[in-house]
Amino acid sequence: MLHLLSLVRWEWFKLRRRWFPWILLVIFVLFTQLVVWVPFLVYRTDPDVGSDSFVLPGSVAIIISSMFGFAIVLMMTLASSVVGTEYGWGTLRTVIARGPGRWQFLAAKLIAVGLAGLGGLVVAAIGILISSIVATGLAENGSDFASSGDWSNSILTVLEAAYAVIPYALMAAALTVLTSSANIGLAITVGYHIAEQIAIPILSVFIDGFDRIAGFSLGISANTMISQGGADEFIFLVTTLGGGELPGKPQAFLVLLGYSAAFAAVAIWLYQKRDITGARGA
Amino acid sequence: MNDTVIQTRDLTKTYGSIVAVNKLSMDVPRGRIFGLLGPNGSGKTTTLSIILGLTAATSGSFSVFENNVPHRDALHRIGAIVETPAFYPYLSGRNNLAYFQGITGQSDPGELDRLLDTVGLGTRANHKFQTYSLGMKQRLGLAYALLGDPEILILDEPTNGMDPAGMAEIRDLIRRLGDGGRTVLLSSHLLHEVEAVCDSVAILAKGKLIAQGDVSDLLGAGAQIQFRTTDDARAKEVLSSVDWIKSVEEDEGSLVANAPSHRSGELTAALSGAGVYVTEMRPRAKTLEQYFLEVTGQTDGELT
Repeated sequence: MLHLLSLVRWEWFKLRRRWFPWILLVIFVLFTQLVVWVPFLVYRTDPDVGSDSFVLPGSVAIIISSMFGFAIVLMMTLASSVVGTEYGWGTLRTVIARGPGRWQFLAAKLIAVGLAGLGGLVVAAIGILISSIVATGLAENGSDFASSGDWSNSILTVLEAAYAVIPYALMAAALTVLTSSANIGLAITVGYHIAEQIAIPILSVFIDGFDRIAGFSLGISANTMISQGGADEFIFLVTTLGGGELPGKPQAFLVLLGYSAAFAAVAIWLYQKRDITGARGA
Repeated sequence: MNDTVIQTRDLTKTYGSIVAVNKLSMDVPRGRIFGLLGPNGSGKTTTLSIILGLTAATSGSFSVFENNVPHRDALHRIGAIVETPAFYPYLSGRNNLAYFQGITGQSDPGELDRLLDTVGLGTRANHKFQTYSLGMKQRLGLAYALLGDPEILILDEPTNGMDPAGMAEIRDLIRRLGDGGRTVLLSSHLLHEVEAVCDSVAILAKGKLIAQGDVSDLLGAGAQIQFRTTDDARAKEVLSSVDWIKSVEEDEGSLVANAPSHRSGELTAALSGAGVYVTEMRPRAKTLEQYFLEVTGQTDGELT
């Protein structure tokens, strides 16, 4: 366990010295800020549109939920890059030859990616919090806004989002290990994500009872986990057009746990089993 | 204490129908500089990869420090570079070494400085790896291999990409590393490099072990006698009928007999009996290149 923690520490050492995670973080924070300030500017011209997106404490939960799909893609990108560049640069051979243990090395990487994801969500949430305070202060009648939601719900939404992106990151990692390529692994993962978003609503419309199967899909479970009263478009399509019902959060929690365990097991099994060769090109 | 630190027995690795390593049985003696010699594609890197746990053998066995599996503890006592060293391009040379030191649970900044100076990278230690030349990457690879003062050093083509001065410097360093009782397993396709550095050698061709032993023994076993006579044509004719002389060839104005040097007296007697007199004679050891070409039947001077 101590060895694994030490490996996580050294993965973090590498991660924070790369530009790439910082770029992803900046992109995510900028997009969440956009969701604060665009509604604020619209509200300034037309107060009837509502102020939920920039009034605390509900703004944090609303924006993190609405940006969840984007967070998934960024996490897939980060996981693919962190796992796949070791193949591209040929550093996997240099690392494993020193004897840290294969599964331990991969597990440390995945933990570091998970921590980076959680950190990114927390930073974005703090950004939303600060912007919400500023925006409310700038609004003419800001002190009169009724508070939306509550703080515990905002904190819970950040934690739920962090939990719900994990299986996507692990899927990206597993497919990257399978293909030994960050680019191919990411392409397949994003492709699956998009295909699922298209296929499930359509199949829910045309196949009776499909919604019960869809309840065990990654997309429905992840969106259920962080949904704010069915506001998500994907869930709206399935439940409204398909006439189905959302699975409960406990089921979604377990389904996501199952996917995470399965993807992690596949990634580690392949990592343990495969021969390790030299650089494949970055 | 066992005198063999790495042992392979019938080690075989196949990729589909391609046999990369073919029933290789090899013993690497403790405290020696051991050369693994062979042309590109002869199975050297595959053999090293199996020993380092990077590649699974198809059949056969191997042991390192008498363990049947190269588990983590064994690998912690080995320093290795396999082919072109690969490091994190966005990290400096120093941070790369700090990372590889850290993942084995060690932390000694002083060791990093010492190693970077040893391999001549002290002034470029804080530059990113991606700015290094191939020779500098090789030097960082050597520093990486020396982290933790390993008992076994496995170096795969360590002078690849270096200029002649750098190659000579690294060869000298390898010799010094081997002097302290450390085992060095040096893989190379450069015959003169192995001959200059190694105490013993295993020669591979097409995945098979062709010869193995001390360099001096291997070259001594095929010794030659170089001599001049009063009548070289007659001397060749006379010696061609002597059964313990394998052949007599002309070489740069003298004759070279493929015969053990301790029988030079008998050679002289045979010639004088036929009225041919030796005017100059000296034993001549074969070079590793000549030996290699003889045992493998190749004709290239430098292996490719």
